[in-house]
Amino acid sequence: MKKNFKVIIDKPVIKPLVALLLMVGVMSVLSGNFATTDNFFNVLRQVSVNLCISVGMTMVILTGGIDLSVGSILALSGAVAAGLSKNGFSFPAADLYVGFTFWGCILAALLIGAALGAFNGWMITRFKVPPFVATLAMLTIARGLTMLYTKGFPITGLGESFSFLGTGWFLGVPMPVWVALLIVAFFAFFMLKTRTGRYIYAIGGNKKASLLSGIKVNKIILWVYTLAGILSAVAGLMVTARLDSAQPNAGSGYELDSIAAVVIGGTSLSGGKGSIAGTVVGALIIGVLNNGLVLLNVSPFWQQVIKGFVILGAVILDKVSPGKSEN
Amino acid sequence: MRKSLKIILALVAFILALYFSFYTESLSERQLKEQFKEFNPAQVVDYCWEHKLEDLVRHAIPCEEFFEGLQGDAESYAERQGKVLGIGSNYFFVMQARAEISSVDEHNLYLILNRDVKATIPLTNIFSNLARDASAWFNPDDFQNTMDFNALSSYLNKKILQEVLAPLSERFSTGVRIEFVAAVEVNINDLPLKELVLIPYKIEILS
Amino acid sequence: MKNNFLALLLAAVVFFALCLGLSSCRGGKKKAKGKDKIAVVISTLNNPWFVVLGETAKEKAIELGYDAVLFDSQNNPSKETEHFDNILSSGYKAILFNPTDANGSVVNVKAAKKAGIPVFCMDREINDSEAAVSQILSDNFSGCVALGQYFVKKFNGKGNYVEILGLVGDNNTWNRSKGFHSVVDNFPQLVMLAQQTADFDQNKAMEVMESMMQAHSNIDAVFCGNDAMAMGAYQAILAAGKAGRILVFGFDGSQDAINAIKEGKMEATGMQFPKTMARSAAEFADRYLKGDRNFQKKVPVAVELVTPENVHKYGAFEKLE
Repeated sequence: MKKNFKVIIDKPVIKPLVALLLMVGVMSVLSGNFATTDNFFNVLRQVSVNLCISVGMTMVILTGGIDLSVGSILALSGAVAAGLSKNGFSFPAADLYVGFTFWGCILAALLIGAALGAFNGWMITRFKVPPFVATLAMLTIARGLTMLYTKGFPITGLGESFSFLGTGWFLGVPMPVWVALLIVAFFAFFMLKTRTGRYIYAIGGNKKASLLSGIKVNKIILWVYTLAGILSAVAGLMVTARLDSAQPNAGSGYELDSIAAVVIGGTSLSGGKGSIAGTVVGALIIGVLNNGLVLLNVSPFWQQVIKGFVILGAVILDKVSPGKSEN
Repeated sequence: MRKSLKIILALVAFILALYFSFYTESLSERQLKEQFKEFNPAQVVDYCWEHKLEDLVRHAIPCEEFFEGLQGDAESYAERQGKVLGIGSNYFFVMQARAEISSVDEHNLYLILNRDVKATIPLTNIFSNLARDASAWFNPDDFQNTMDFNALSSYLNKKILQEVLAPLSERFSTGVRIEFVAAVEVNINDLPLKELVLIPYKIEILS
Repeated sequence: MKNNFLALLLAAVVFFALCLGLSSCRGGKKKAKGKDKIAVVISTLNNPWFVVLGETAKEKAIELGYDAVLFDSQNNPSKETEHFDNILSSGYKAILFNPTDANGSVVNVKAAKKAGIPVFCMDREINDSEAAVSQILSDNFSGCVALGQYFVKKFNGKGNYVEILGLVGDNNTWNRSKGFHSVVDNFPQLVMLAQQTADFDQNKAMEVMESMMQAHSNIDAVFCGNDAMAMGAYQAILAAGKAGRILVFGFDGSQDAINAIKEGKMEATGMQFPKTMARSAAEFADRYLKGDRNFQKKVPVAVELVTPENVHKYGAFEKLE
């Protein structure tokens, strides 16, 4: 029994989890409005978007890479989904209008996310462009494409189905939370139980060794970035649905919150170490922080400062504490 | 065997995706629906012009009374007799007067009213929401969008140009006497009145 | 070492349990000392015009006996949605609202209405006539019609000008531009050489004006969607040595602009009355919370044209009595 307990304590997710619980406790005391069911769902809903992106980001960082383009891909997929829902293809000669259904828009958004993510992966694997640079370039490219597509205007008035995705409830839980939950569950399973999942850890830990042991490193890296792109697209759909509009500057800065969630959750930026569970805790910490500070009426500028220090604190704590073995 | 099964499944998935992703409808029908959504000011304005103009003309304030009222406690007079849209110090009145045209150019008619107050009536372009607001025919609450509400003005102004002013434009010249019912805007903080801009609902040539 | 950590974990769990217990004793949506709370949500506090709008609304609400909290949406509908989430679950009684997007903000107002919290829009409208209790709006279109007429008179119907627009996603940007053009476009000898956006930002406007002056040497005037951009454009004009050659027109009625008009640096602006709108919104909220339900859905606040002739009557964002 004691041995099992020790195994759980030693798991790297425990430290951030403790921090999260402490934070929740402190916030509950400081603000009477924090520990309510309504607010609980607010935090979960607000965290859902970051969670989607962060799951993809976790996988990318586990391979030793990084993805700065998630925010821009989010914006473009959201914009395309919105735009297609309002305008399809017209064929005047045949008096025919071919419109996109709700599912068609979703599919299109996911395809865009996949395409852009795959492009990132291709740059990284085929042309050996460092992930930082490749995704940085995609950040501006995708944002530019979003601006071109939307002409700088928000696209609004998207209909019932989108509304339900963004603001609907199912079995007492908000829809965005369901989406995030499903994604987390699926990818946690994927990372822990499938062969490819284990390979991702291996590649991050020691790329050369993985290559030598026959793992198709390039193919997996390509897939990881593609998945990150798809997950960004999912996040884009959630944001668009929530606002009932696609904003040209959507997702701006989301990559930072995502990286922060992953890092606070205990995943190492050099790859090979970390977990989806840790990222979930990390995202919740950021969500609770954001929410709590707003409820306490702290100026948004101070919020930035505090957030920065929390990230630093989390990483330092991770390096300094006992119970962490250097493999 | 495995591989060909995969290909068949992929094809089926592809076809299903296509089926569920698109829907079709007649292009002309769609265009009709779109047109319906756009706001058409003509209907509303034409109706009011048909049915409410006479009443408006009948209740116009005679010019002398108008000037008299503004000389005293302008604010309470304006509250009683004028209309204001929302919050502001600009009030709108519908006034009736007779005057002699002092001069004409391609853009305006120039008149001198009672008490030597100068006035102009635009002939080629009417801007502003004066005609719309003085009539009190339209309530901004009934319109989704301020731009729709403003579209009423564009249409009404054009209508006035075409139906009230254009037919008489040939006969306007210095010395001609006219009688009119017109909308006028007054800023009660900007008194005494100096120059007025009048937008006519009705004009008659007297001599 | 591991034992220490175990102890730490236990302590944290106990502490957490205590905290939860304590906070639930205080209750969820506590009513603060008898004073009702009003939320003031402003699209951005990065622009003095909006700061005046927000602060005045807050002051008036406090004066009327409420606790008022100011929220900054940072021009971001997502942020605005988060604020509404928090407001709806924190026991606020009314919202004085300056929307970020005429269409995108409708969801938020509808959610507030559903939760029984009245929303009063200030300055910008939402494209829905039922969701908000009342919308107190500046008629930007008419304000710029007056500006356009003054513009035409000033140039006698002839000249070359450039236009600097505000945020393209803001209804007001287009209301102002359309108002201006509804007049000026009727005079074919008034030619628009270029039209760019500077997002209502002073620095951006300066850069945009510089580029436009590079591309066109015969500019006679610049029409800017707001006073901040007008000031930026003036800086560029001054630096290029063309002050006095290119006339500057703005919109808002900011202190800078009023001074500039007094000093002959700017030609005209449209005075909006953020203080009037803010105070009216607070008063409406007060009336509503006291039981009044009779409100006009849209209350336009007139915009007044400020020119060198009448500038002495105006102060920043208000008329001097």
